[in-house]
Amino acid sequence: MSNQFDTIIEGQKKAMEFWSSLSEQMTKAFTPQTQANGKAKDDAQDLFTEWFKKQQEFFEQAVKAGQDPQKALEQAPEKMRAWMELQTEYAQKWAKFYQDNAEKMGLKLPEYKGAFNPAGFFEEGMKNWKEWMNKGNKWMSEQVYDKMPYSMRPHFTNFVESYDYLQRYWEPLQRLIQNGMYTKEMIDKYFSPDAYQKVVNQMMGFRPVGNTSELIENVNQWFETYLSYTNKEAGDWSSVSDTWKEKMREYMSKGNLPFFEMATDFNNRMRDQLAPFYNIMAQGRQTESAKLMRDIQFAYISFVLKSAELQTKVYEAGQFAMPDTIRDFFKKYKDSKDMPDFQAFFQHYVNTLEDTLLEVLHSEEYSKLQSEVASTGTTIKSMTDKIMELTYADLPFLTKSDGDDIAKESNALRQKMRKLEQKVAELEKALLLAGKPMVAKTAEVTETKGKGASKKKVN
Amino acid sequence: MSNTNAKLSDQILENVNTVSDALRNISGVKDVDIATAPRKTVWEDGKVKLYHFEREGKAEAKTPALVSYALVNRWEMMDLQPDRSLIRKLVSEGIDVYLIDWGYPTKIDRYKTMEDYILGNMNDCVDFICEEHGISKVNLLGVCQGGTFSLIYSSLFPEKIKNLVTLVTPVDFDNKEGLLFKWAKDMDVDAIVDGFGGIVPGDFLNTGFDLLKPMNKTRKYMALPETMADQGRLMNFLRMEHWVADSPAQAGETYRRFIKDMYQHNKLIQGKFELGGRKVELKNIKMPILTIYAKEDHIVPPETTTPINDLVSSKDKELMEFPGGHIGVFVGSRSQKLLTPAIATWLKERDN
Repeated sequence: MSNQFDTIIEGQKKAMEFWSSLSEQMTKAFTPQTQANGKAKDDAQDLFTEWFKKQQEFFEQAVKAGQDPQKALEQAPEKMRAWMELQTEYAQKWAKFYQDNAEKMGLKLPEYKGAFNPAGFFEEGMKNWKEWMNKGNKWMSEQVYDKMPYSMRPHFTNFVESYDYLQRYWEPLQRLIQNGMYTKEMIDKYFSPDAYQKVVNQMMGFRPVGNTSELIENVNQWFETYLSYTNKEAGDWSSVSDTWKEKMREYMSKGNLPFFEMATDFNNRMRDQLAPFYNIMAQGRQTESAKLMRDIQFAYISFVLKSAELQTKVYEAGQFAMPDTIRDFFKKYKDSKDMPDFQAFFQHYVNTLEDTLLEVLHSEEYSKLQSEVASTGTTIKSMTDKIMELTYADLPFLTKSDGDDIAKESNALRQKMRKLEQKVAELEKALLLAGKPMVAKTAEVTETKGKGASKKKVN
Repeated sequence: MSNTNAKLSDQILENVNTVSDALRNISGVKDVDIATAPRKTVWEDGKVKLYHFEREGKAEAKTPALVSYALVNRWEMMDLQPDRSLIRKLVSEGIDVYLIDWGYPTKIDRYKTMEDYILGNMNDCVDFICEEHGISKVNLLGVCQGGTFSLIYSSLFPEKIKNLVTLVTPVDFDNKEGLLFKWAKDMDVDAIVDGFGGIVPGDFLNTGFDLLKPMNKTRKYMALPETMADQGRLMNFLRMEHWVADSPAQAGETYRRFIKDMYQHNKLIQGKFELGGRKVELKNIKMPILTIYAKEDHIVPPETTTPINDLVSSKDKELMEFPGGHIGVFVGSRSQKLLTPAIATWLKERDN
């Protein structure tokens, strides 16, 4: 909790600094002309002194409340109201003072022009509270994040990032709305296609493929290096552990490879504990592994290309969502001069974007492509599993294939048992119809725990 | 103060109030509890369990109801929270409620088939309830895929089902509007099942569900400050998040068959579907049947559900439309007020 209240205090301090600085400049602006007229100078000084005193009292209370998080939280809205009233009252007094005195004293406009316009004065002050709100929201996001199940957290993070990212463009987007500039070409100048793709990636949870030719080149290079080493050194491998160690040394130098980092770590741990077993491990599966690696190489390139195509379809479909959104708000602005807040804008954009995306999601092309991406991805996974199995064959691990055999056998037994149970039930029924006493009544539902069968009645 | 400033200050004040309430509420959340209706496990077979929901006093209806939820996602959605619980409401309306929990399949279950689920587990549960209550028939309530299982079961064992209720249950899979139906037709299900090593992860399915309305999550999270400012809505949100995340994997062989025979070849509706060597004919369903669908269901559109009424031979059959989506129909406030009482009344009227 303390972070949140530190933030409140920090926001209040900034508000204090802002107003102090503003008033100081305003007072200075009057100074040269008030040398000859002590009255005006005193009036300005009085205003500032009165305001400063009130500010001090206000912030003293706020800081005291801030020491008790619960109290500060409860009082935040009330303090906000009090603070705003304080500022507004001051702004109005200054505006009146200026109107009454400045012109006749031949004053030049002070640096903070907004200070002489209560509206501008007020808006300037709001910035600090907006900042407090933003920080409050950030803190709130973190709290929500902690309460969410793990698998939902990436979705939430994606949302927060996309919201924050688009908000950075809010200033120019507002100008585009106000000026009715809603052609795609114009919008691209302020909200670039790259920025748009970034937002879509965040909202859709895409891992952007990026530059496909560069990526394919890197993939090919990686696989070629791996395969050439495999072919060259296959005969020299003395153990899987040594091989891993050597390979990792090679590949880790080629960049960030999380899978191999994990595998290296795993290898190092296993090496120490299972060294005796490595010595009796079978050799000669490298050729099969190499063939599989070649298959993976092409499957992976296919996966990359198809993913890129799929993403491009989505990008293309949604590219006019922003121009449409800006046009819609411009129409409203033209009639009412009302500007939306960012939340309303974001919501409208999201809805428009979804409508356009759904069109492409409903298309035959998308459906087929999505299926190809999914099946290619899972095929790569199964080939990778196979390589792992080959690599660790003959080690005292239960492989996937072993597990598969057990699962098959277990299910066959289950089905056999069910058929037998059904036969018993039919026999019972026949005996009952024949008027003979039933045997082994309800054998299938009575307590069988500990007798080899898993089905049981729970008392 | 000018109008603009007044509006701005009102907005900011409102936001400050919202954030303050939200902070207070979220700070107070300790545990996210779900499915709290008191129950007992009365039967189990491996990972599959049969629950009996506890009640005070005797049930008004003498025929108990067995709820069969889908294999996809978890049954807890039927008992999300005390004031949004189809289970609790059914119990309070005088129905004796049992529910099959299909469990969380793991790799050992990769060869578990539709026969195992329907002819095995479901049949065993029905038999168990009949024996416990000394009756020959139960009421069956199938939800979504669990509804399709219920239709299959009722076709094969009509003598064991007194009344059948299907909720948001697909039966006609030849649908061009529902994205799931469209995508499933193009799916290389063999590559998927084999690629995942025979057990299809729940996250894979959830990704598909998310894409049906790609901005749903964004919209949901966007409303968070307002959601969190209300303690009730906050807890509802967190419970839903936990429910969505709790997505069991699918036994590969069952998934493969369901996609191929239902989504890709639409065999059930054509009378071409077989289970355990027996042909499944929906016209064998002669017991009273209530078909419930959600008007705005984008996962199982109404058109995939409503043909049930034309395919069964029941004389006593009824279609019931409810507002809301696939999930909202169960967890929305209207569900408590309208849907569940309607089901309970329908069952009680046919309890002789």
